[in-house]
Amino acid sequence: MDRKEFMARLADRLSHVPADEREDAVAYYEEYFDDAGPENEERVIGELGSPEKIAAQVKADAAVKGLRSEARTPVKKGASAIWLVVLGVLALPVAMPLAVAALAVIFALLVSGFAVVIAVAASGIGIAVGGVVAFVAGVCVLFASAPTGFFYMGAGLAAAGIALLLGLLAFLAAKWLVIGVARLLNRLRQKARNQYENKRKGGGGNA
Amino acid sequence: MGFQAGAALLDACVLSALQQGDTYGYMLTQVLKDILGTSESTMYPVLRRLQRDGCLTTYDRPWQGRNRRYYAITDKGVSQAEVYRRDWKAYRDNVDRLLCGGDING
Repeated sequence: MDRKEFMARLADRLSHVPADEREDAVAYYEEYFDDAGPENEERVIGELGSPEKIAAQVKADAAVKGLRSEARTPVKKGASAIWLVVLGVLALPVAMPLAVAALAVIFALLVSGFAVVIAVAASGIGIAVGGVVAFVAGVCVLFASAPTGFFYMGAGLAAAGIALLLGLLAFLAAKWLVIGVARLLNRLRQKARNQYENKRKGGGGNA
Repeated sequence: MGFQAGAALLDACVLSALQQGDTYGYMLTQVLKDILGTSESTMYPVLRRLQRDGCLTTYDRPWQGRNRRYYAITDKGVSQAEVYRRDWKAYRDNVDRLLCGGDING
C-alpha cells in the first residue's frame, strides 16, 4: 500500500463523517506525508497502521463532539419531555383506575391482615377466659368428685396454655404487619423524594 | 517502553511543547515520539481535542508551494498547562516515593 492508496481508503472510510471533520483529517494526513517526505512514506504508513484504524479514531472523535453539542442544546430533551407528558395524559383514563384498584387491593390486604390478627387475639382471650372458668369450676367440684375436679382443672390449664400460644402468635403477627407497613411507606416516600430531586437536578442542568 | 501515556499526560506534553513555540503536526509528533514513545497515529485526536477545548488554535502558513498547518497555544491552554504541571509534580512525587523511596507512609 502506498500513500495514494492509504489516503483513498481513509477518505472512503470517512464518507459518513461530517464533511468538515473528514476534510480536516484528510488534510492533516496529507500534510503529514508531505512533511515526512517521500523517503519516510513506507515507515509512516507502517506506523500509522491501517486507514481503518485512523478512520475509527476520527469517527470516535466526531461522535464525542456530537454528544457534547447535543448536551448543550436541551431542545431535544425538552421535546421528549413534552411527549412523555402527552403520553401520560393520554394514559390517564387507563392508568388512574389501575392505580386506584392497586391501592384498594393493598388496603384490603392490610385490613384483612389486621382482621386475622384481631381474630387470633380474640380467640386467645376467649380460650383463656374459658380456661380460668374451667379451672375454678374444677377446684369447686374437687371435693364432691375428685376425678371430675381434676379433669376440669387440667382442661383449664391446657386452655390457658393454648391461649398463651395464640396471644404470642397474634403479637408477632401484629408486629410483623406494622413493621411491613412502615417499611412500605418509607420506601414510597424515599422514591417520591428521589424523583423530586432528580427532577430538580435535571431542571438545574437545563437552565 | 512499558508505560503508556494517557490522555491527560498527552495533553500536558503537547501544551508544554507548544509553549516553546508554534509548530506543525509532523514535528510535534516526532517530538512526542522521542519523549513518550507514542505512535504516529496518536497525535491527531489529541490535537483535535485540545482545539475543541479551546486550548490551542491553528493557522496556515505557505511552505514550499503548499500550506502547512501550525498549532499555537491559547491563554486557556497556558493556564491548563499550568494545572497539568502542578498535577504532574504531585503525581510524580507520589510514584517516586513508592518506586524509588520505599517509604509509603512519609
